[in-house]
Amino acid sequence: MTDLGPLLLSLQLAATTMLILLVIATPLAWWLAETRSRFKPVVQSIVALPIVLPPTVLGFYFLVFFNPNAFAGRLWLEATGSTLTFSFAGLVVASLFYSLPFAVQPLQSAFETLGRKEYEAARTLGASPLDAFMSVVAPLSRHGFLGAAVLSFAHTLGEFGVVLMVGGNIPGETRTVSIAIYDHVESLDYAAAHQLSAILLLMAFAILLAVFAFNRRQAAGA
Amino acid sequence: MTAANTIRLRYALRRGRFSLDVEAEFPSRGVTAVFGASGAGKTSLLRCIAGLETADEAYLELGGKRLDDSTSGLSLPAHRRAVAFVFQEPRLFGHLSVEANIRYGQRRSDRRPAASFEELVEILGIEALLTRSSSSLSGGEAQRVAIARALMSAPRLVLMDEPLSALDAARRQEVLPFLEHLHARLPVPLVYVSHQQEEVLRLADTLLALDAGRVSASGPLDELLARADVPGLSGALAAAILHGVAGKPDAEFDMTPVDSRAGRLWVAGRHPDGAHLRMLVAARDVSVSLAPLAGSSIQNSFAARVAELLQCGDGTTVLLKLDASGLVLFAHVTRRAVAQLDLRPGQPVFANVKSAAVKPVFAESPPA
Repeated sequence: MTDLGPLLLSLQLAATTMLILLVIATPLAWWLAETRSRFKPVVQSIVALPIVLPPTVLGFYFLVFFNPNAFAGRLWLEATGSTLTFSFAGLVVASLFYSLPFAVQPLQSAFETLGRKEYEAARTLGASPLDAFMSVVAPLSRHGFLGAAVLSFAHTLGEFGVVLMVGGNIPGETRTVSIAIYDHVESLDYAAAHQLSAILLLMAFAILLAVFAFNRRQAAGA
Repeated sequence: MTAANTIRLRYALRRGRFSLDVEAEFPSRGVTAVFGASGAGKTSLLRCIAGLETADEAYLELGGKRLDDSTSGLSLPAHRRAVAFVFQEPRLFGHLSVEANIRYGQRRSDRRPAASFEELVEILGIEALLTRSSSSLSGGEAQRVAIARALMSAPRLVLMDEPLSALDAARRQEVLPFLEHLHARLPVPLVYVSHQQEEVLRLADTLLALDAGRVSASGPLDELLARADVPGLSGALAAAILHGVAGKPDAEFDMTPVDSRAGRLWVAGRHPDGAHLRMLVAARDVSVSLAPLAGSSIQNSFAARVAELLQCGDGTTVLLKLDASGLVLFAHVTRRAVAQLDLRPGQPVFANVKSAAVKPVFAESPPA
């Protein structure tokens, strides 16, 4: 029987990352969609970096900044009593950066498509900026939220290089499904690799199918 | 005007090559039309008033309450102004039903709207739409819902930015009567941006004419029209507005006599006895003759005097400014007719007005 531990750990990591990202990426994407600041290209480039950067480079820098002797790593150690490298928390933090563009971009493009029209209408009807966002902008951008959730979840699920660099291979803590598959192949246990890979393949397909079906219904129903 | 029933504003802003520098004062009652060519700054002015745009210099006082004062750093955020905005497009919230759209502002206001939900829905004729999804409406329906939504937020002031411009002529004629009814029945002041002559003449009490970001004229509409020398205005708005009181309608012929200062005028349709009516008499519907007409279908003839001859740009027609017992009327005639009748300033004539062409509009208060 396949060891489902790595799969569950990956799902847990992807879900945690996705939830935190939705909270962080929403205001960031709204700002990017609205701003006329000259810093916009700079922020946009930083957000998009993980798309073009090799994951190992990202992982290397995390290792440098998160290790207990570095400033960020020491701060975390003092605050929580555990190290950020080679821990689940470290994987979450690294994944937040790694998957950030996949949450920001669907949201930003949804906000840009919607424009300011409905938001302004809500403001003149007595809604505060937050109220207008929650009651009008967010529901009208729901396909953007769905896209951000699915992409950041799926992207985190498939993460390999960063995990390898930051997390190592600690069962139950940092041994995610892609690391486990790699291990199985290394030890020529193709049967185990097949089982995990097939589960991932089916899951990815099911998620995408659900999203496209939802989008189709939205387009037809609206 | 006292502070309590006045809107006083001043906005100055610069955006690239466009600059707006407007100072105005108008009554916080009835409809103030902001009139001007596109690019004159009409929309920018409304956005400043609503708090959607920040001007370099800003002052806004609404019925004694200050909303903007850049000298003391006061600038109420848009949602705390109680200034509702009806945009060119309806901007309905597509995820909400029609009723939820209309109640959106009401739920966020602690003021009492000037009309109840039921009244407004009835005035605007949208009872049948309430349970529909707001994304399934036609342009005219959606804009009426947007108007209801703005009014249900219990605003101190309603701004409308060419609310009929996105509609075709037929839909415009569908919404305009509702706006007239609102005007007559609601005490909320309305600032209405338009470059459509008909809308301005039918709705406005006060006019604020903008030209290249500056005020080119402002004041009561009938006074401005009578002056006929407001740049960019007289040509576009060649019409007179008469106020009068309706008499007993003639049921057989479906007409109503209206007594104005110029005399008795028969207008089409039945209007309640004693109602104050405002009538629009366009220059093209007035002809002149040297003697009272006999054997004519014209129902209304007033003794008048030629006050002024204004050349029209086309070279073949002349705008006659007539003085009918102190009231100003305009007649659009050809130069040939002027020569044949030998019309000169001071000459007594008869002004003949076609009844079928007179458009009566309810007035909410007797003329001052």
